[in-house]
Amino acid sequence: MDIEAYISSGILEAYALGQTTAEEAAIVECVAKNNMRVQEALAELSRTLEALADAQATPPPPGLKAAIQNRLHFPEKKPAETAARSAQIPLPQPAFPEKKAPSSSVGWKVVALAASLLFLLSAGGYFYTRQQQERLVASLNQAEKTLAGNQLRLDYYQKKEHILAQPGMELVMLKGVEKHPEATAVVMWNRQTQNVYLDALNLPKAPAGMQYQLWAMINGKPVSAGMYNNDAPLQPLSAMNTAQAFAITLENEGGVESPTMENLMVMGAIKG
Amino acid sequence: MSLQLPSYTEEELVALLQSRSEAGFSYLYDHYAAALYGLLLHMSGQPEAANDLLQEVFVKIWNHFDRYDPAMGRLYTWMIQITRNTALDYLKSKHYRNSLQNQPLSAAVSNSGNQSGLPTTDYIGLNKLLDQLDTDKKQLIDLAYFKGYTQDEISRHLGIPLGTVKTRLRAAFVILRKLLKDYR
Repeated sequence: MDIEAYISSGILEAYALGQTTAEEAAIVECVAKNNMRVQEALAELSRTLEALADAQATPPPPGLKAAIQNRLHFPEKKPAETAARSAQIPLPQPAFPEKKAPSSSVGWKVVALAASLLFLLSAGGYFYTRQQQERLVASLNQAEKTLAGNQLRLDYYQKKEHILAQPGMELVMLKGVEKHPEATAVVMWNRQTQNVYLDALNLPKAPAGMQYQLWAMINGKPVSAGMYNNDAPLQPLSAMNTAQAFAITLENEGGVESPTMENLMVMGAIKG
Repeated sequence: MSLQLPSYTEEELVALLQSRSEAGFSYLYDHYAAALYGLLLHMSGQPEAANDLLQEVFVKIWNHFDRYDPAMGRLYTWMIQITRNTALDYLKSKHYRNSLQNQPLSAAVSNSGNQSGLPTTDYIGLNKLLDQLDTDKKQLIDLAYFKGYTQDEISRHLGIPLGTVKTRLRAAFVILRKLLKDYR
């Protein structure tokens, strides 16, 4: 059976006229998805029926539109809601995207029939293997992404462990201020070497064009200890030989001379 | 009469409807109601029924819009399918069968022709167009498309083999397509 014979068998006309059973329809749809010629033949039939509808177009009575609109529910516009939705962080895609379940009455039988039909239609089952290939490539890509993510995390924790292992390293816990109770951060500071590191993974991601700035409180005065770089999270910041507390504010990229107090995120005093 | 060229692309219109836009609905109605109403008139042969059915069709389109899948075909085709199914359900209903008893026999037997003062010339235009088909092809299109017979039912009804139904229906489509192209 070749594709021309399939097209001229009359099955596509039956489908366009809604004369096929759910099972036959599902097979036609599956074949059309994989074969351009069948897809075009179906589109041509649809256009003919559209032209037929155009040819018999008759304006409905004038009051009908309002009567219909009265029966419909139109949601009120909520711009705030739309904005909130677009700000949501997209969830990672599952490795195998959920497939739409075929309509309940149809099920596996159709899948099997369509698959065997595709085998017949396409010498060597080309389409079948192509689909499988696409699925394999998709899962490989996903696995690669996961692996790359794990590698980044591993690098981070190894580096952090290395920093913490240095003799004389002190940990300063920074807690969220009233406005940001969930935020936390950890400053790793070594008085001897004066090195300052910041672990800010528990701060929300800084918005575009903004950066977290670390401040050392020295005798009641804030002194900039440098900018937190999201791409190089454990980079040493400005050297400090004295401080009584650390604090973090959210500032425009590049930082500022003195902290913007409304944007204070976390702070913590140094013990002893 | 042909439909006005829309100023929204189909994609834009679909996006508007997906966002439940009232303006989107209004545009949809203005551009497609006449075609769907014409189909309902032709199939039901009764203007009053067509009024009710058109309401039902647009309510279905609006309430089930999430079921429309652009990958499966054009919006217009989907709406025609809904319209046709709604009309076929009506033709099968008790209500319709009762209404036939109150009509002159000629109207009940054939729903072609300008009954009950239908307000248009296009409707007649279509019948003239269909008249250009051979009688057997015209009958096939009528039974299959406008009356919703299955191919089996047509085969039994006309006393011709199923294979002949299939090939004739395909031939009828080819000619119909040509006629519609000339008609435009």
